Amino acid sequence: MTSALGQGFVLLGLIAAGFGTALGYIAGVRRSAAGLRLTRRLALLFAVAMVGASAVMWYALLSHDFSVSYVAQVGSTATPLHITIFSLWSSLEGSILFWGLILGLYIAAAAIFQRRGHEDYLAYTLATLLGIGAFFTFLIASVADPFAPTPPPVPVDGPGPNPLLQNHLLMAIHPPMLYLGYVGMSVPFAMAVAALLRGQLGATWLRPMRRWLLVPTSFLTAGIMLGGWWSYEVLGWGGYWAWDPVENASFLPWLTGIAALHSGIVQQRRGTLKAWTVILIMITFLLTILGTFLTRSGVVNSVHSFTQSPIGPVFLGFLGLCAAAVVVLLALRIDTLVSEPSNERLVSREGAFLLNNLLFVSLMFTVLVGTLYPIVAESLRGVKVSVGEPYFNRMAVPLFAALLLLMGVGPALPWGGSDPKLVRRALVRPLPAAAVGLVVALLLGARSAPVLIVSAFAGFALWVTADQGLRPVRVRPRRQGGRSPLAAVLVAPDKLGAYVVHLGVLITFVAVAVSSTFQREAESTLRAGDTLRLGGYEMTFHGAERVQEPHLIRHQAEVEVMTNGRSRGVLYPSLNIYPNQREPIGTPAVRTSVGHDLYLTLMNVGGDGSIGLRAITTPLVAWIWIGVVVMVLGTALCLIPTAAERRATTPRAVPDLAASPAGGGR
Amino acid sequence: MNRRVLLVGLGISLPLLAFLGFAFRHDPQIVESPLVGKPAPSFRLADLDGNIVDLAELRGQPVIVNFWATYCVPCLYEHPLLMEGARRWQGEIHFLGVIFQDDPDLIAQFNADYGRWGPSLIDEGGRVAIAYGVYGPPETFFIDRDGVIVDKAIGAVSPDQLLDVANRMLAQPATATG
Amino acid sequence: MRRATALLGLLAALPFAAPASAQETDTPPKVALPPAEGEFRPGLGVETSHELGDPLGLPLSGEELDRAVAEVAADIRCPKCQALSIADSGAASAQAMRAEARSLLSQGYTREQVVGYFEQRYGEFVLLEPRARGLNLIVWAAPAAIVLVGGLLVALRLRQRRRSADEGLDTYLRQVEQETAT
Repeated sequence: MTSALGQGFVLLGLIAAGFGTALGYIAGVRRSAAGLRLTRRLALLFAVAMVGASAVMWYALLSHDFSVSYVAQVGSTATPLHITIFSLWSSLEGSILFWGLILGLYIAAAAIFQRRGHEDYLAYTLATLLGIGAFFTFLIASVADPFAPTPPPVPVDGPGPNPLLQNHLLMAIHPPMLYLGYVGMSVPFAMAVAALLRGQLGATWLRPMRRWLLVPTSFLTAGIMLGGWWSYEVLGWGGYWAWDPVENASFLPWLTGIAALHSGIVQQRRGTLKAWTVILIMITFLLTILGTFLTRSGVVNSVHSFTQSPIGPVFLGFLGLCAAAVVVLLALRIDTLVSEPSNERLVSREGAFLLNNLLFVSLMFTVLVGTLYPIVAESLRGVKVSVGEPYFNRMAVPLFAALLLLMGVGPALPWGGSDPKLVRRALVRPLPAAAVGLVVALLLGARSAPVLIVSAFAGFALWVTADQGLRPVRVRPRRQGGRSPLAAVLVAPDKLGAYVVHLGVLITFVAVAVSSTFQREAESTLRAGDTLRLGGYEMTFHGAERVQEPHLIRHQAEVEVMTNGRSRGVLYPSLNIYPNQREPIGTPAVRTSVGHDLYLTLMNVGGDGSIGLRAITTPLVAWIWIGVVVMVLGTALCLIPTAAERRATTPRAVPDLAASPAGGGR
Repeated sequence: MNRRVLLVGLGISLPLLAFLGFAFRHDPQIVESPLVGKPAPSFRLADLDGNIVDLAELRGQPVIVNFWATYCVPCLYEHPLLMEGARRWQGEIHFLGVIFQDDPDLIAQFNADYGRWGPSLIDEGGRVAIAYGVYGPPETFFIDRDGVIVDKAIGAVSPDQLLDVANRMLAQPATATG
Repeated sequence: MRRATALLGLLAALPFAAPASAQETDTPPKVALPPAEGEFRPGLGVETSHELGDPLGLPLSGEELDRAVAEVAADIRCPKCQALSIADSGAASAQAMRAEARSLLSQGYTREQVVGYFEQRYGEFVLLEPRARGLNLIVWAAPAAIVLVGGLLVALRLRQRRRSADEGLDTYLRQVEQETAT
C-alpha cells in the first residue's frame, strides 16, 4: 500500500517532468505564453510529486513499515527517532529520492521567483530543469526504486543505518547541504542553456543567473566544511580533509562555480567573458553529475562510496548524454554570445580576474586528473595506483598560495589599469600590512619559507579586503551628504558581501595553513595512573570502562587533562564496537579553544586495562569553521537586492544589450 | 558551428567517459599482488601450542599459507573448504594459518568450535603479514615446491581455485633444491 | 570428468555450519626448533634482509628517527582504510606498518629503501604518491601543463583584445544592429 502510493508519486513526477520538458522547449521556440504557463504548472506539479514521494518515504520510515524495501534496508526499531529521519539519505536509493526532492524544490523556486520579466528565457530554463528531473525520477522509478515492495517474508526489524552515520549529528546536516549545493547547480546550468538557445546573455539575465549560482556554491561551501568537520569529530584521525576521491568530487564543481562567479563580475562590469562564464557554469553542472557518478558507481575506492549497484552504468549514460548535449549546444550557439570590446591589461582588475579563472580552472583540472588517474592507470597499465594526500598537497598548495596573492592584488588594482602611477600606488599601499603579517609569523615561531610567504600574502590580502570592503562606508557619506553607514552599505550590499566572503576565505586559509604545519602529536600505551605529555598538557589516564549500549559496545577511557598543574577537565575518548563491523570505530574527544584543539583518540584497549592513547594538538582548527561561517554570512549579504534593484520594483523587460553597461563609460 | 569548441569539448569528454566506462570492469577492492612469481618470504613462527614452523624447511612440498582472523566473515565461509582441502592433500600439501591481528585465545576457541585445518601461527607485530603484503584477511598464498608464490587469493578461496592451483603445484616435479 | 566431481566434493564442504568435529586434520610434521643455520636467525619472525639488501644509510634514533618514521608513514597508504596514510590511521595494520618502518629505519635502512620495501610487498597501490615514471608522468606533468596552456590562452587573449579594442567599437555597433534585427 505504502509502496504503491510512493511509486504513484514518483510516476506522477516522471510524467510531469517528461511533458514539461517537451512543452517547455516548444513554448520557448514559439515564444508561446500559454505554453509557458502550462510548463510552469507542470514544474510545480513535479515539485509536489517529489514532496509527496518523500513524505511517503518518511512516513514509512517513521512507522517502521518494513514492507517497503528501503525501510527494510536501513530502518530498525532500535534506531532513535532523529536518526530515522536522517536515514532518508543514508543509503543509495533514499539519497536519490532526496535528490529528487531538492531538485523539485529548486524547480519550484525557479518557477516562482523568476516568473516576471524573463518569459522567453524561463520556458527553456524550466524545460532543461524538468529534463534533469525526468532523469532522476526515471532512476527512482527503475534501478533505484526505494519503494519496491520487500519480497516476503517481510522482516519484523531491520539492521539500521550504517553505524558511522549514527554517531554524530553533523551527519544529519552535511549531506543535505552538499545536495543543496550539487542539485542547485542545475538552476544556473538551465539558465545558461536558455541563454545559449536564445542566443543572448545580457545583464538582466546575468544577474539572476549569478545569484542562482551563488546560492548553491554557498551551500556547497558549507557542505564541504561540514564534511570536514564531521571527519574531524568522528573518524578520529585528527584531520579534516584527506583528498579522498569523493571529497575531491565535491571540490571540483566548487572550484569552477567560484571561477564562474568571478568571471560573471567581469561580465557584469565590462560585458566581456560572456561565453566563458557560460562554459564554466556548464562545466560546473557536468562536474556535479560526475561527482554523483563517482560516489554512487563504486568505481573509486572511497569511504563515502555507496555499494556497487546497477545505477552506475545508467548514471554514466546520463553523464555522457549531458556532456554530448553541452558540447554540441556550445559548438552551435557559443558564437551568438558576443562580448563587448574592451581593452584589457594584465595588471588591472580584469587581468586579475583572468588569472583568478586560470588558477581555479587549473586547480580543478589538477584535482580531476589526480582523482581519475587511478582509473586511467588501471585501464592502460593494468596496475592499481593511488594518488593521495602528499600528491595533492604538493600540487594544490602552490596554486592556493597564488590565489591568496591574487586575492590581495586583484581587488587593489583599478579597472582598466591604464594609469601606471595609479597601479603602483595601489600595490605599494598594502605592503606594510604584508610586512606585519611576516613579522607576526616570525614572532610566532614560523621559520619555513612557505608559511612565511603565506603570512605575508595574507597580511597584504587582509589590508586590501578591509580597505575595499569598507570603501562604501568611508567614501559615500562624504560625497552623498552624510548618509548613515548602514544606508551606505545597503546601496550595494553585494559589494560588502563579496569582501566579507573574502575575509572568511582569508581566515580559513590561514587556519588551514597554520593547523597543517604546526600539528604535534604523541602516542603511548598507558596504564591507569600513567601520564602522557604533549606541549604543556599532562594527560592522566584514570581507567577505562565498558559500556553496553543497545546497538554497540563502547570502551571509554577517562583522561584528565592538566596544564601547569591545574585540572582542565576530563575527556572521554572511546572505541565503539558494532556487531557487524570488523574494526572498532573510535570516537575522539576534542577540547576546542580559541588558540588550538587538543584531540584525543583511543587506539586500542588491552585486556589488562591498558590503553593506547594518541594525543594531537592542532592550532587554529576552530577558525577553519569560523571562516566558513563568515563566508556564508557574506554570501547572504550578497543576496540582498541592491538599491537599484529595489527601486525597479517591477522589473521591465529591458532589451538586454541596451541595459548592459556599455564598455565601462567609454 | 564553432569547430574549436566542438573538438576541445569532445577531446576532453570522450576519453574521460571511456575511462569511466572501463572502470566498471575492475573491482576497486582487489589489488594484484606483486609477489606472485617471486620467492615466498621465509618465516619462522610458533603456533598456539608453541611448536615452531619454519617455512624454509617445508621446501620440496607445496605450501598453502592462509592469513585469517575470527572476526572476518569470509574466513568463516572458507573454513570448511580449507578443512576439506587439508584432509584431501594430507601429507602432500602443507596448510599453514597465520593469525592476522587477532587474539590467540579467540583463535583457540574458534579452532575448538569448528576444527582446525593446520597450525595457527602467531605473527608477532604483524611482520609476516607485511612481508606478504596482506591488505586484510583472508588472503591465501600458494607456494610451490621451490618456495615460489604461484598464486594468491583475496577474500574467501573458491573451490575452483583451490583445486586448480593445488593440482598444478602437485603436478610440478620437485627440483633438487635444499 | 574427474575434475568436476572433485570440485563437487569441495563444494559440498562449503556450507560453513560444519561445527567442531573430532576429525582434526593434523598437518604433517611441524619441525621443532632445530638450531638455525645459514640465512636464518635463531629468533622467530620473518626474514626480510635478503629482499632489502644492505642498509644504505645510518641507523637513526631519537627525534631524527621519529621524523623519518613520520615522513615515510605519510607516503604509505593504510591497506585497510580508504585514502588515509598509515601515519593518520589508527587501524591495527597501520600501526604494525609504522612499527616495521621504525624498526627498519633504526637499523639504518634509508627512507627510500623502506618505502621501496612496502611497494615491493603491497604493490604500487600502497604509495600515496605515484612514482614519476612511465604513464604516471601524466599525473605529474598535467598540473604544470594546464597552467602553461591556460596562461598562454590568457596571454593570447590579452594581445588580441588590445589589438581589436580600437577598431572594436565599430564592429560592436554593427553586431548590435545585426542582433536587434533578428
